[in-house]
Formats: sequence, structure tokens, C-alpha cells
Amino acid sequence: MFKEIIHRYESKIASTVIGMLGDCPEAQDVGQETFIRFYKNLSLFRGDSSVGTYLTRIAMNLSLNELKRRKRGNRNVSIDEPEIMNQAVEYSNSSNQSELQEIVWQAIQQLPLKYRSPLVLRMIDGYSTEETAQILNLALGTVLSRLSRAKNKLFEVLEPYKELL
Amino acid sequence: MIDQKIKFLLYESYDRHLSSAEQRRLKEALKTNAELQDLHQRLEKLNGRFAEHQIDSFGSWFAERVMNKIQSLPPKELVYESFLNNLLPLFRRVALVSTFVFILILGFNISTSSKPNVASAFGLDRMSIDELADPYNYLTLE
Repeated sequence: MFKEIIHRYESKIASTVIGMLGDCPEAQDVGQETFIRFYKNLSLFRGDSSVGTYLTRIAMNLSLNELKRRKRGNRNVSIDEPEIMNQAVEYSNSSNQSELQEIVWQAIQQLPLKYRSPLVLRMIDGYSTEETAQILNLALGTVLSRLSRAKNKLFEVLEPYKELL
Repeated sequence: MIDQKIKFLLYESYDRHLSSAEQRRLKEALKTNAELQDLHQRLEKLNGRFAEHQIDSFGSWFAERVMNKIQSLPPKELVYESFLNNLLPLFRRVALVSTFVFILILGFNISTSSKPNVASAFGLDRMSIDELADPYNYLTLE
């Protein structure tokens, strides 16, 4: 029964976690922990939101914890601060479509967390703006403004590849 | 040069329903501003890229690995989690009323005290620490 839930929501959780952390070994661990947390807290699930939204909220919180843990290793960084803003995104002249895709993913990883999380939920996971606000526990206006700023910053990072994308 | 307000209106048009006035303003700006048209095209392309690239899974046997981990969890951990999960809603139910009563008591103590301070808020000015710590002994010593 629970295995069915995992099969059904794996892709949604994978896009949230990989969108937030990038395709790294920790992403799989966070994915597993998301389902384990849900299993342990099944009695708390009251059905106010859908299982997908509930799982996504757990996945988002765990991803943010993982990112904070990573940063703590280096220095104290606030959630507002860009992670590695303006770091050169690798690109070769012979890049194909998947490499261009990779450039976009790397650009997302460079966004500050407060902009990255709504962008991932809205544009990668395909949640509505209202659902994104509900998952992040933010006001709708805040989500709208963060989404706009996220897109703006994304274009700034992607400026060198303007012609290609 | 793009007006920042129009630029953000263009961004927002993908995330919320614009009013008819906003739609008209954006449409007009898109007709006349080449830079804004370019940004619009880039936004469309970017949305397309996100739609194309769907992440399907964490890799093969993910569900099996999660199930193995769940089955290897010590039962004690699950019992503890479930105990906490059942306990928390009980506290949640009385939390609001308790907070209200607590504030009421603090208010009463402060209003009836001659010297309003932290100690008087908790009623400590009417009771010594000895009495508070061990009322039985304190009374018998009297």
C-alpha cells in the first residue's frame, strides 16, 4: 500500500528535491527521508491538503535543511543570500540541447533560496501560485513578488547565453 | 529600455490573472517595445525548457529502498513518534485557553500589586521563594 504511494509521488518529489539541490547523491537521501517522515507521521495527516502537497512540503523543508547544513560547513549564510551568484556556468560551443538544459539547471542552483523555492514549485513542479504559497506558508503577494524576482535573477545569470536559450 | 513595472507585470502575467486594465497596458507595451518583446520570447522559451525537462525518478528501485529502510526502523522509534504525534494534538487543544488564562493571571497580579514588576506579575511578591519551593516546611516552621 505505502509502496504504491511512493511510486505515485516519486516523480513529483524528485523534481522538487533535485530542483532544489541539483542532481547529487544527497538528493536521493532527502527523497528517501521525505517518504520515511511521511510514514512516521501518517497519524498527523488530516487530509487538509492532498498527499502530494503534504509530501512536497516535507521535501521542501528537508531540502532547505540540507542546503543550510551544506552552507553551515563553510560559513553562516542567511536564506536571502545568493548561494554562488554569478559563478560561471560551464558551456562549450558544441553544446547540445541537454547541455543547454543543464545550463538552466545550474542557473537555478545559483538563485538565492528564497527565490529558488517558489520557482522550483511553480515552474518545475507545476503547482499553481496559490498552492506554492500554501506549501511555502507564505502570502500570495510574497510568492508573486519572489517569482518575478526569481525570473529576473535567472535571466541575469543566463545573460551570457541569451542567444542560445 | 524596459520600464521595471511593465517588466514585472510581464513576469506576473504567468503567475496570476491580470486585470483588464493591466492586460491592456501590457499589450500596448509589447506592441511598441522591442526589448520587452524579446524578454517575452525568452520567457516563453524558458517555460518551454522547464516543461520539456521532467524529472521522473530518483533512479531504479527507489521505492524498494525506502520500504527496506522503513522495515528496518526500530519499532521503539515508531512507538515514540506515534506517542508524540498523539500527545501534541492534546496540548494543541488546550494551548489557546491556557495562554489566555495565563495572561489573565499575569494581568490580575500586576494590577493588584503595589509595585508592578516581573516578580509581582508571577505573584512572587506575595510569596517568598522558601514558601514557593517548599510550602509544607515553610508553614510548619511558622
